[in-house]
Amino acid sequence: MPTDIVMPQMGESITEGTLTKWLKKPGDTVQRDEPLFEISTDKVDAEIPSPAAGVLQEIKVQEGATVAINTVVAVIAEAGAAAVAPAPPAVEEKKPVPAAPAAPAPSAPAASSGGTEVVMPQMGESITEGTLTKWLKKVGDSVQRDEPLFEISTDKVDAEIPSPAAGTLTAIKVQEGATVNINTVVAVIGGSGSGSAPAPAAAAPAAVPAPAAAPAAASNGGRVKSSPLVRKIAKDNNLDLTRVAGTGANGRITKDDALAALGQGMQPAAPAAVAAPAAAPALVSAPIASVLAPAPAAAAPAPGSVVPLTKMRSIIAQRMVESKRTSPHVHTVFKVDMTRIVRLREKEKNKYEQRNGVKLTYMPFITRAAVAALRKYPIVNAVIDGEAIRYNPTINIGIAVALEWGLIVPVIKQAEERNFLGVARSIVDLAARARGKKLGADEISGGTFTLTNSGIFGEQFGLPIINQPQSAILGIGGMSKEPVVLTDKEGNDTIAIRTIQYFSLGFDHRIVDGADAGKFMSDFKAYLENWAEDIG
Amino acid sequence: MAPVTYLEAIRQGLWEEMERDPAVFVMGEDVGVYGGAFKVTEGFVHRFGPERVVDTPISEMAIASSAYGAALTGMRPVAEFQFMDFITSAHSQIVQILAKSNWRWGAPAPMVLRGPTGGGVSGGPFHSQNNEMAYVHTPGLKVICPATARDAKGLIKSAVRDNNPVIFFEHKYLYRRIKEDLPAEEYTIPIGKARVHRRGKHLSIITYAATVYVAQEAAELLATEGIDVEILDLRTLLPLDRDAIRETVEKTNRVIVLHEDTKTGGIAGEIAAIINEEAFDFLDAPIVRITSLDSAVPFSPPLEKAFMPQVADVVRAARKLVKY
Repeated sequence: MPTDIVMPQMGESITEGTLTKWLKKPGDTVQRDEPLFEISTDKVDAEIPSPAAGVLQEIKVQEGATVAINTVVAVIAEAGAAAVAPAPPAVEEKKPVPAAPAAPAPSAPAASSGGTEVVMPQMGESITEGTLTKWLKKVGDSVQRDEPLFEISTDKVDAEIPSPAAGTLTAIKVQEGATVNINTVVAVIGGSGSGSAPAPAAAAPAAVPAPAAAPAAASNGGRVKSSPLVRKIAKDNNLDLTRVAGTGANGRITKDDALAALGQGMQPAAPAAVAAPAAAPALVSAPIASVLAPAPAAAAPAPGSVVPLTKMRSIIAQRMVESKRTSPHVHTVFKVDMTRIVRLREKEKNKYEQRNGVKLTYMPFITRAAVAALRKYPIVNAVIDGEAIRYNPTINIGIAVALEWGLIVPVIKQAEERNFLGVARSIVDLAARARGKKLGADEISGGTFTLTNSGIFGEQFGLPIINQPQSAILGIGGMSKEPVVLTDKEGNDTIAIRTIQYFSLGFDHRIVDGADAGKFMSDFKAYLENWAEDIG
Repeated sequence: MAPVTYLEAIRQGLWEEMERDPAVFVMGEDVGVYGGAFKVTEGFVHRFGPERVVDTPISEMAIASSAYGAALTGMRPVAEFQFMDFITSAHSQIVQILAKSNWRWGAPAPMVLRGPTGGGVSGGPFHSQNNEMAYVHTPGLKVICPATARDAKGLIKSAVRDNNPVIFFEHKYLYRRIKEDLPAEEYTIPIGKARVHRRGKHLSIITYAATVYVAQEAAELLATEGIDVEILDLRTLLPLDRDAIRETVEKTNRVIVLHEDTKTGGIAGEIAAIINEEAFDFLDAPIVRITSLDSAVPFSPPLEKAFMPQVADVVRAARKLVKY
């Protein structure tokens, strides 16, 4: 049995200590009572003896860090056990990410089997939410069809809601007093109804049951640590906190975490417009945990200092060189008139966020346009496979997300099967979980095409490197207002100020020719400029 | 115009009020020819004469009682207590009679009881206390604790004009250490309004009096680490500016309440309770209190330093709080 080593309390009023020095390294054998590390507190500096004999398996608190007393600083394993598994550092209870094959997260939407879901009804055209004021039945009660089940109160009316089905009330998912969006499941009638976590509100009827489709994040297990503010944000936005990664002390979800999860949009990738390690499953799947684990960004290193590459950095380095060596890169740059989309977004963004709980960013527009063009030109979505071209059966869009500690490319699988809202939700979800280090290995592999956003720092466009083994990458450049010449049907020219964005396609000339790339981009451009899709 | 000290600002405020309204007069131990223990009323007797600058015996009870009598006859007395520690000798009179005069007899008692408070000057246990909370707990009074020269002047003028008994705590550590330019024109500062001393977004320090500067120094240090601190100076403790407290909590979601008064029964607890009642949903972390220890004020300088909240205490708590 491994033993957790904690920061000891060195005096009555002492609440924290600074770990000044480790006297052992992971893998070292430690005797009981042998000095293990040194600490410094307000009161004393001291060497701390090991409480158990064994092998130092893992160091969880680095030198120089100040932590609260009783924080686990290391784990000591029994001599035999640890030697077998020199486990990648820092994968403890918080992220059972890839290695645990026994515990794939259950797919979320499989709501209580067989039952009828009862939803918050829409009581009027402009009503988006209702308050459940009273339950008229308890779990376990039998209910007749059309028998009053609960009472609600909305901006417009107060009403009794009749049961949509006969059976036993098996689960109540929304408590009295709670205000939820329309179509939120409030109860289940019949079936086995094991009151699972409330499903996120399905926004547009018939829409995909939103984020649920993405594999559920590893549950935090037990109580979710948050704060009154975070719970309020979650309640107001119907955010399921069990899916949010906490960056606060002991994994607590902070306000910033909650807001990030609600989708501040994708954080664009680094300026170099490089794509990240992702696609090749062979390379990434195993070490992903350690890739995601390195220490938080430190202060700017001192000039002249030598800092070892993090695992993630070294993978990025290796894969960038490999890509340049493998693919003859050609780049083509298009200017796209985004005026129509900018206006649409400005007009819709508040309502959209209220309606769907997701911020309306440009990314879903761009992603949808790319998907449409990829469907039309499957060669851009294909790969070279030995002496053959393999046309990928699905369109899996990788989106490069800049992290403080590197770059990662989560993948929207089967993007062609998602509508606009589905894409928007996936982007927000993946970005939030990328930053929270909660991506599973399968969520950062299998991409067939990559988007990388480098425009936010004011550049016009970058020339991105292909994310192998894919054949093309689309760089999203800067958006700015430019004077352009518009020609009307009669051939009259006028100068107008339009919002222009640059897009650069990097493609592998072994498989994609300039003409394909040009047609692809021209379609992509037309899709955006003549945007006609319902955004949900 | 030359910068004006906190002490001089109070002197100017009193002077202007005495010039403005003949009903205003000052009284206290040695306020006349000697000009008061800290020289707040220096020169007053020469300008306004001994009838309006009244030396009293060493009896706080007599000072408070006779000031009250004068207030009942239509005067507006400003009574100085040489150290606010000794205002307790008049406690019964203030709490039983002054504070309840209007409620019990319909007899307003417009008067100011003022004097130096606070530590940091190695004054020992009888000359360093922060005993404002005894009066904050007494409905019928108003309690003011300014931190800046500008506020001290504007608030002493408002106190003189107020129709309720006002207890005015002047922090003696600030008397000659704080200097600032004051507006040339006449002004007052409203009682019951807090002031944002520094704008920030990551956490709020709610404080008053001398610890405003402890907060400020901590904020400057924390700024170098990217922690952006908002400081709310309460200025008045009774009535409390609940709106300002709520606003800063809603803005930063993380709160330190800092004061030089001791912890148990200090206003930090009251503020934490207000936040709990009125802004619970805006908290992203527990409220932290940083105060003096529950002890008498030590005379020894190192002990006094250990007793009072220091910049390092605030910095440490703030770092922890933003990471919470």
